Amino acid sequence: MTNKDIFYQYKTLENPIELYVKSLNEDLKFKGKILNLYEKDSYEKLKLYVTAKVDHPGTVLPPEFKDSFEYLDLVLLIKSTKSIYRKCIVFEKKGNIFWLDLDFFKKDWRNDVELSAALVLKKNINEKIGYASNIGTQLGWSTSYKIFFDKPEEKSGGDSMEFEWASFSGEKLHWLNKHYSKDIYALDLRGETKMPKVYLNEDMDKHLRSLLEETSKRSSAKTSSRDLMFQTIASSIFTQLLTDCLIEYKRNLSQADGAEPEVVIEDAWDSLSGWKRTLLENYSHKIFPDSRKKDALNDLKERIYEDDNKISEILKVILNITQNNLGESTNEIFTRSAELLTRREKK
Amino acid sequence: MQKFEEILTSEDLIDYFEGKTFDKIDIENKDAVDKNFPKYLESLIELKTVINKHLKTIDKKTINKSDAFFSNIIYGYLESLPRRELTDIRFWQMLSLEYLQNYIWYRWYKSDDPTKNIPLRNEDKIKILKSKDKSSLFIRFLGGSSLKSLTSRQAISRLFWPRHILKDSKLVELCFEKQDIAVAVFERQYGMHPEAAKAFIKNISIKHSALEKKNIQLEAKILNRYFATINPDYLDQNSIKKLLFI
Repeated sequence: MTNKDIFYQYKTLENPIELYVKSLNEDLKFKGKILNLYEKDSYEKLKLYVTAKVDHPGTVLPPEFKDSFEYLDLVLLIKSTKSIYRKCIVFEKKGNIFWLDLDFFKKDWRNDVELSAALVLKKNINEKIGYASNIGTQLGWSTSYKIFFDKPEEKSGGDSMEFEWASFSGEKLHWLNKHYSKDIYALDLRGETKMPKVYLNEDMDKHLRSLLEETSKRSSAKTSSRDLMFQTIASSIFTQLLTDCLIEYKRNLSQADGAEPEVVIEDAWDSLSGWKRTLLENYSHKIFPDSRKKDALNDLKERIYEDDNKISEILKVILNITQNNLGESTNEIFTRSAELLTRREKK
Repeated sequence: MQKFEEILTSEDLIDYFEGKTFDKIDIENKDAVDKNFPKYLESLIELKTVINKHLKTIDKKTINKSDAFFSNIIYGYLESLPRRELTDIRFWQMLSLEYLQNYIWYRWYKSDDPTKNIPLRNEDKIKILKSKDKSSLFIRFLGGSSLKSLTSRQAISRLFWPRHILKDSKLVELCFEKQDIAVAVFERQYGMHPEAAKAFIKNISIKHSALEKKNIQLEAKILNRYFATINPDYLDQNSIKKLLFI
């Protein structure tokens, strides 16, 4: 098993390390690989028994190394970013079984703790093409177990944008009254922290409203026209939102007074409200499609900071970015609609 | 000891200086349980007094050279608290606003008028916070949700955590001697790993005696790159030193 985002120039394990984590507290059991400790308030201490198994460890070493575990260690990695803690413990070995005992005290941990096993090179060995040679090199991985000491925060990405039918001539949307009262849709950015809200004009033509409220999934001229309209509305709204987020991030960068680039970047980023960060995070790989997925957000933050023209380059294609990333692409929806309508005409 | 019940936002910070009070809850500590014996309160008041006393003797122009000094003082008062609470930004926000506000203004507010290094009136504080070029002050008071906000940004926790991770006060001095070192180590994940942090700080000035920012950043990036394939937690200081500095 390898981390697919990294190209390893040396041999790694073919199969993942098998890791088993068992709670020794009677009432605390893992569900799958998750233990929600926060659900049991009474426990101050958690006792775990951890075992692991490695298939064919010798394959990661040059053939002349006979006793694998003279050169390899199997370790348990304990990581909790929110607790500012990471540690590695070498497993005890008995035959082919690796094991260790662990105690966790509730007072030491925040949010989640991740446990995983890794096979590492124990000492430097002579370089040989195709094999790792540096001490500490990771040669195999297991999947992770997680212990939640606190209820996981709900991701803000799960927030959906509200939408509401309202009169564009009414007091509520007073800024639309004078010039835009007959429009179909509007977006209220609603200040810094609240999610923006989409309004549909309740004074619109009744046929149009009926079409927009159509819930059928069957392919027809009606549903096709509805999809076309929603695609147009959605892409223009997301274009505006992304533009707004990017411009604000750029503005924050120019206002940050930290000297170090990393501090300036993170200050500018942290100054964005939660939904803006989430939106940019979700779209970062669409904005930088040539970046690795895991690097896209950092690339976005850094390149906008480093290159003053980058934001103009992005905004030049922002409409295309949204067009292609709203579930089905605009091309697909428009084409399907065109095919359906032209077929009907021919009949 | 106490912490705010909810994490304060930028808007809350303005509200705080406008006089709004925010609910607090006890932290999970023995002292906090016995409300009739508020030893914790005495120690925080003492910490505030000690810090304020030192502020009077330190020139604002050179206060950034005193990070290690304040780091040791703050660590001494807080080291016995549970890690769970020390990683809670609500605790640091409470400590910053209720006890150590003067330090934060003095250390981080770049005043145009040298006679007003610490704004005294709340309306002045609000005015400063609302001025466009002072937005980074929010981070110093409030921190954020990321690891680096605790280890590198929030004005008080950034002094505590390096001292806690490095253990050795001499190393803390080296770390804060040049701010770029502290940023390079404690804004990265390997700042959580004491051996990696210690090895980097001990050896960076040996390899680059002038401690130029670009070299510090470059070495930090190189180390980060090594850790894509090498497990930093497995290595001791000597192995890390060999990776980077020999």
